[in-house]
Amino acid sequence: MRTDTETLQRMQLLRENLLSVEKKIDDEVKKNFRKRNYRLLKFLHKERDVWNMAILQLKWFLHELPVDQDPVA
Amino acid sequence: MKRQRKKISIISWGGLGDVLLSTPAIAALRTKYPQHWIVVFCRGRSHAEIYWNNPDIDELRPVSFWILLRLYAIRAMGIGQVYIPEYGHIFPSLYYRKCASEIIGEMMNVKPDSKKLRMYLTEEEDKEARKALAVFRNPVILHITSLTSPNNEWFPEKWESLIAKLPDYTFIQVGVGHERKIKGAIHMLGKTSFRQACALIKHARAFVGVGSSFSHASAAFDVPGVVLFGAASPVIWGHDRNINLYKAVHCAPCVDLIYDSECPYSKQCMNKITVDEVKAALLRQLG
Repeated sequence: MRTDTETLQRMQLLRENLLSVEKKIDDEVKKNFRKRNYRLLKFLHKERDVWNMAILQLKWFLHELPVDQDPVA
Repeated sequence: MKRQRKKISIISWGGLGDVLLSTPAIAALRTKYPQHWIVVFCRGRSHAEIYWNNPDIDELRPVSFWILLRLYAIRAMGIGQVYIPEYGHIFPSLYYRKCASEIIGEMMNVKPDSKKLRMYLTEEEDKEARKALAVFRNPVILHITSLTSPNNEWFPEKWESLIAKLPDYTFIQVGVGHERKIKGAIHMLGKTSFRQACALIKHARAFVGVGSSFSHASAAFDVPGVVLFGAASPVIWGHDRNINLYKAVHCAPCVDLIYDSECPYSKQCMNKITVDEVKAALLRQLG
């Protein structure tokens, strides 16, 4: 079983990934709508969901997730 | 003779690799309909070059806008057998777990007996390739570029490092003229036609490169190959005889999602493939 510190470290890594994806989405959305790469935007949208979900699961593991935010319950 | 036979029309589709991948399905069509007249309408000379001398095909014809319109209409009305193996439109790496030649077979309502790709070189082409390679010690054909997506490409410094680690082999780089030259390799970029490059692959000791038309050519000639996959899936585009190196990171395969857009993760899938891994795989293939 992982310790809480290890889980928190992993959560930090996931947050960094999430931030990097969100920054890329922002950069793409700042472009004129005709010049946006919509394939990339859809992919980044999916990736944002992946990291968000992973963070929520770790929060649940650490009992940090309020019941009304639990996506599985 | 031609008039009396029922006609099957196929419109070539995709890149050169996709055209090569359609050959097992065409062979299966020939087996299923031995009496039919099989015509392949080629979008460009490069497509036709792949089908040259193919005994499963009765006629190769160029395609024009009006011919396309007519064939699409025939297909839509269901009044003739017209096949367009445009399997890329159905996102194979997302929804399929079988190789591209089988997917194309499914689109043509046939089940290929074998996944063996077919390309028929002439004796003259074989002779020229043997002559060209005779001066090199242990020739290995190298191809580093993917026209589908740059996310499939490995890093030039890693290729250079691989070549430096295998001094007993001569790496011959094939491809088109504007591709990046790799230090330490013999450059034949832009100096050969696709068929000539395929003939070189046929007579080389091995092939190493990224998933591309040339990796399919190595499978067509049963030349041992090492193929690096990143954005594309080896389940769809890999071949059993090759060693397919692939790191299943969480976002791979992404080619059907982002196509040729820049990878947001700096190609971690390709970055995780190490030089030593490729070297070991290549030495294993070289026996």
